[in-house]
Amino acid sequence: MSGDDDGESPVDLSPLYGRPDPQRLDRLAQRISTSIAAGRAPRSVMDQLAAWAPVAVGLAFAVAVLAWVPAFAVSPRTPPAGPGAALLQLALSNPGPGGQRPIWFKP
Amino acid sequence: MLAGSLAFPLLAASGRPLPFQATNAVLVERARRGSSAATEQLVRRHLRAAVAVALAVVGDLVEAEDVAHDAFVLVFERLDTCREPERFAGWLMQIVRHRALNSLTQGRARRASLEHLPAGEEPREPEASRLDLRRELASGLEHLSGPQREVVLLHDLQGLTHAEIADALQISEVMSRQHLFQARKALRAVLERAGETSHGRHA
Repeated sequence: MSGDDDGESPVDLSPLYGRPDPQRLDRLAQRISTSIAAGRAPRSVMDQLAAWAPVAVGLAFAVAVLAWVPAFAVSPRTPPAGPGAALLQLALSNPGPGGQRPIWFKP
Repeated sequence: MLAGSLAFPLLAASGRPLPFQATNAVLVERARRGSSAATEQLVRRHLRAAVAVALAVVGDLVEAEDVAHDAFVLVFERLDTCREPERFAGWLMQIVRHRALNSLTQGRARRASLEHLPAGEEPREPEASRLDLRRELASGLEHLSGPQREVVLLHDLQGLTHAEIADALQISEVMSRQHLFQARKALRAVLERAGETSHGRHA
């Protein structure tokens, strides 16, 4: 027991929890250290690929969107081409109040 | 309060002091950089406190050890998020308490089995009175406040000093002494009542 007592003797809690066992504590410390080390260990190639899979999917989606969007970035004088053209025609059919249409637009 | 600035005597499992007595902040910094020695020092330095704090919540030593294990693993996974490394102990104990409460709500806690002796204990008293004593102790601990239970387990079971308790629980040493005094008083009252009842029954 620790030395800085309050003038009262400690309550004996060993009937309930046993006496402190340094070896048991040592085994627990080793178990914890092993688990922590396992968490830090370099992962296998497959694990790393699996961890990066969501990022790869996100990037692929972003590239696809960026490749598709230029169809909208058309000059006011050049009719659009590509997969977005039909959608753009549809959107421009109702430009809203004060909206301007490019000169190539034919309602 | 020490706030982790005082280097506690580091005791290995064998009880021998470790050669390097670094502060929590230094050890956390080294552990962040991947030092397994620093990690192990932090684990060994705070393990008794973590087990006692978990025990104060779950009431069972095996479960408390599992909670402490999980809390340490979580803490070292999230070590980069520790904003005040000098208060590592307080941060760790918060996570221990949180995991212990989770364990209770998930119904995983196994309250101390009153019918079986703790590991390594030999029966010294007649079975009935030993069971009574265990029941009364368990009941007495249940009726303490959370901080009182933590302090009495840290001091009287795990043998921590008030300075160590103050650092672990982020309270002052004076407060630690007050909690211990109140906890012992309450436990003694319970044990005395139990003793009188037991004598009355055997008379």
